[in-house]
Amino acid sequence: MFNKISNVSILAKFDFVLFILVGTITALGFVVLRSATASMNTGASIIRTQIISIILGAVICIVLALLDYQYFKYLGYIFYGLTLLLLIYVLFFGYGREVEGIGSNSWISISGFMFQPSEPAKIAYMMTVPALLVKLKDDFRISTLVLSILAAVIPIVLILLQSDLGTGTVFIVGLLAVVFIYGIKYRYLLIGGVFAVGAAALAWFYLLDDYQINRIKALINPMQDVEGIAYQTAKARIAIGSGKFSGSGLFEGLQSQQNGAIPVKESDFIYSVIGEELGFLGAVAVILLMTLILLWCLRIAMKTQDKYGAFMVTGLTSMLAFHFIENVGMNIGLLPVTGIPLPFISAGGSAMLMYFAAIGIIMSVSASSRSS
Amino acid sequence: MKVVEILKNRYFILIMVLVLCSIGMVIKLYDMQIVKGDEYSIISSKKVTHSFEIEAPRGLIYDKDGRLLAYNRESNDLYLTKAYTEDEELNAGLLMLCEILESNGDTYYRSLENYILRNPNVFNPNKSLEKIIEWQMDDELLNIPEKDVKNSAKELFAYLRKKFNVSDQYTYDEAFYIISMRYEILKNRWNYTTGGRIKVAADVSLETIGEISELRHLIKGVIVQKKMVREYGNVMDIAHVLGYVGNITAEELKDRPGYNGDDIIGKSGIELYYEDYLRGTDGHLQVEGDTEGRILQVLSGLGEEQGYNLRLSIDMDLQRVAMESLEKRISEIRSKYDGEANFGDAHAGAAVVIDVKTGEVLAMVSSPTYDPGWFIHNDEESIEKRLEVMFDSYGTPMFNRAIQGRYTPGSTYKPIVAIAALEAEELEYDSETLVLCDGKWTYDDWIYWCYEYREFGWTHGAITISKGLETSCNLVFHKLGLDAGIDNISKWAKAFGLDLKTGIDLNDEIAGIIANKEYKYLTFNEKWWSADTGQSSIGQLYNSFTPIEMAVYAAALANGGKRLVPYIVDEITDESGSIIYKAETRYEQIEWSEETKRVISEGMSSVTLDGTASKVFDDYPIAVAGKTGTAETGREADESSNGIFICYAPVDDPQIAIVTVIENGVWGSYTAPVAKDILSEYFGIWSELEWEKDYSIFIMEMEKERQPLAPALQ
Ligand SMILES: [Zn+2]
Repeated sequence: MFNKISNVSILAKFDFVLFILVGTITALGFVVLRSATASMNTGASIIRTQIISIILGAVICIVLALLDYQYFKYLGYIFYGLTLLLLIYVLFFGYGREVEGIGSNSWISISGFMFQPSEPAKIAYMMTVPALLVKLKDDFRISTLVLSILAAVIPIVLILLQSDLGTGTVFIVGLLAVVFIYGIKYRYLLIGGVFAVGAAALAWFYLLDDYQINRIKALINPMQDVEGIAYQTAKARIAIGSGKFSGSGLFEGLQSQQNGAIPVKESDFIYSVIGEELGFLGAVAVILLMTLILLWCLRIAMKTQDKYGAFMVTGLTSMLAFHFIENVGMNIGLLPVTGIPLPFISAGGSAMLMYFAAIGIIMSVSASSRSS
Repeated sequence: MKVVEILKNRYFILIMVLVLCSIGMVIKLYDMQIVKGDEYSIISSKKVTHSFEIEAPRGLIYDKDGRLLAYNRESNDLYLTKAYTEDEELNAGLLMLCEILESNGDTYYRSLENYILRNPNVFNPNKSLEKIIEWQMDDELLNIPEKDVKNSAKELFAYLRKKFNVSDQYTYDEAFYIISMRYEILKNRWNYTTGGRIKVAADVSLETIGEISELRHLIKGVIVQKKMVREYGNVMDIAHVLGYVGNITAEELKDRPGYNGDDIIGKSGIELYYEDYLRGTDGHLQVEGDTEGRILQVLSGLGEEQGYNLRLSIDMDLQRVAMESLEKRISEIRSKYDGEANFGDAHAGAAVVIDVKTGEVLAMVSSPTYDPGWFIHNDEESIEKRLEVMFDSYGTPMFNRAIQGRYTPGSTYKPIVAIAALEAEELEYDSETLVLCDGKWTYDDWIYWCYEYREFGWTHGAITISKGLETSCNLVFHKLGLDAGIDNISKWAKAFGLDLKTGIDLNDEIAGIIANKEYKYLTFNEKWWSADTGQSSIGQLYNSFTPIEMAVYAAALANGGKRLVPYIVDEITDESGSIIYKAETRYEQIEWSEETKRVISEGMSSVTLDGTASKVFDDYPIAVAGKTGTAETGREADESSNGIFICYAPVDDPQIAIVTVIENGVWGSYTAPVAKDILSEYFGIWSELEWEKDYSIFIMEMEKERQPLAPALQ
């Protein structure tokens, strides 16, 4: 296998289409981010962090793309173990709650640099769970099944314990997609679905805190209550709507250039800035680009003959897809507000690195399927 | 094969889900942006969220009797917000704004002018390439390409005129107003946003506010915000204690988290020391307004809370008498120029009055002084005065001599030498011991002189220590000091805290210097000679102390050895009047014998009866214990010595201790009248007549009209 790979030139294996698509959306996002942060006094430092993250992300992406992803099968376990420890650590020592008892406690700080352990955990999760599922598929054993279930469920439970419903859902969606591609029978999915609905109902009444419930409730009628969360989403919708066909132009958005109008406009609600300043054209362009990227990734998963590669790519793609759909959905008022950022566009160090790492791994799978 | 087929089908399902979601989002966007776009646009342009901080009014400062020294008054600041107007309309509005401000004599921010004034080389035709690069890199100005701005002011003006679209219809002057304001906006462009704001003028007149509101439809985006600002009463006499406030500087901002760039902060005195108490808690307000800055609805907010009020231990009557008497004495001494000892150069001084039982500072003056109002007002006169006092290197009016000036104590140090000799167990001095002054004495190859012997040819003879204090015979103290030894003297000087900061509640206090072996070794790396002890014994050599240290020392002599921690703020209360802080008397007890106390008290009492200050205190109804000091500055050929006087009264039951210092005041006894005036005011034994007679000329000279401390607050 190694011989085969080394015989084909690196350039021929490199998935330029994916790399260029991702580069395009990153560049577009960076321009919008500059506009979104122009009125903020922390703007300059946000931009600095973003530049560093993009450069670092691109390096990680290229390195991972050139590696043989089969290593991840084994390295993934170590990585998975490490991130599990971080997730446990953050449960006790993490911070980030704006108000005591509200919001998620998912940040840790390493010598002043803040990051969310749930981001590397996404990558580790998608290296490990597919590996176990491949093992299960090749040689079905109860012990492997139990191990697979534990590996799949523990990180989700840890993240939900941080009250980070959004990130928890990212893992669940990723897992479902992988299990779906694994070939689980539809009736099991149906049974699972019934359990999931039951669990969700239980969560609504017993597990979710008021903050999360309010965020979901705000969806129902965001224009009515002007204060609080609904007010935020209303501002976001006003911004997007007022962008009309071609938008106000960068740095000119009435809402986007205010402080205190669009909430977290540099991250969670950056899509509202796109909607206002770049209009329908810009907003659809982002959807189109993201959809193309995701379809291209699914195409890679379909084309590869290796089950591990296919599962891993499917999982990572689904996670990215969920980020994208949930983020745009909450900006345009279709989905509840969670702290899920828009891939390649929202400001944020650890999330940015995670997206690029995911793309790198997917490119690595793409490379090996081309060489074989 | 079959497995692959299933996989493929399932991928197809995933693709369908993704594509359907994307289509759904596009449909929703179409509905929001294309179908309802106009509707949202209208809502968007109607409502702008403004959020801003409301600076809390500072706490009030009262004197001991509740007279208001520092208070607040309402002022109006002007801000600009981005109001979505075209250049043409914006320029016309800004010009109108400038004209209104100018016509009412209001000042406004002029960053461009200041920039050019600070960087005159911008227009130097011989400017080097580095300068041009520096100019281009300066973020504060503009990124002007070299070809657009060459060297002359004219070209820059033309460039700016073009950059800001100032049409040709405007005259040069008009264009300059517009450019100034536009530059202000450019400089603060990060805050000049919809919902953001930049400050363009502080504390404008009510006429301006009126005219602006009439012309609102033409001057868009102007926001008027009320704010409480600091105001001082007639407080020149207490300037150094009170201090003043000003805009926070970049360096101060670094040390003080929680402050904003345009906050007001205490700069000196009580205003600085008690900044955390005086400051209060800022409020903030989030309002919904229109795009022109008009407020439609308050969304949320938190009210500001005024800072705590301070009551000082300073009695303004006493403070005023101290200042006026000090200044009067200084000008009197100047007028007595004789060219021998008095070179007519007395120009500055300080006085401190301390309650010997509590440590309260009842008065603390430093002359020359300044008006804290010069630092908070921006009229031309205040600015001129402010610069004058800040750069007066001879009078140094900004310097609080009472805590920052170090003066050689001269003979006022003699009580310490007396105590050291009396308390030394190895020596046998007591109240009866006679010390011989025979005019001249040689010890260790060094000749010590009695001043009177050298000047007038007579000697003091064999006298007691108490008599020594009264006559202040140098030879007696050379002998006592050399007998006691420098270590003993230094020990007692330290006991009185003369090399320590007193811990008064003011910033920038300095500590005194005690002449001893340690100091000489550490500073000059030199050996101590017996002649050094001889000099130290009469309060010369390295000895130098601050007036506040001297006041604590005098108080300790008065109260039986309690070394007090002096304080100025007596009480801090909140708005409702509940007490937040109440000063407490703190002291360290110095242990010394009753006999020693008696000798010092007797000696110092006779100073005002028969001794060096007897002329000043002739027939004075209260028994005063004092000690004069004439401190050689080492430049006696053409400069007068410093005069110092310490005292406490009444002798039987001391209540206050006073220190007066006059720089180049010639003799210690020359400064004693200041202390006498303070005593007279404190004990209410002021002869009205005497005051009138003494002060009428002085008051005319000073042309200082008495005004109420502060106008009553409405
Ligand atoms: Zn003598």
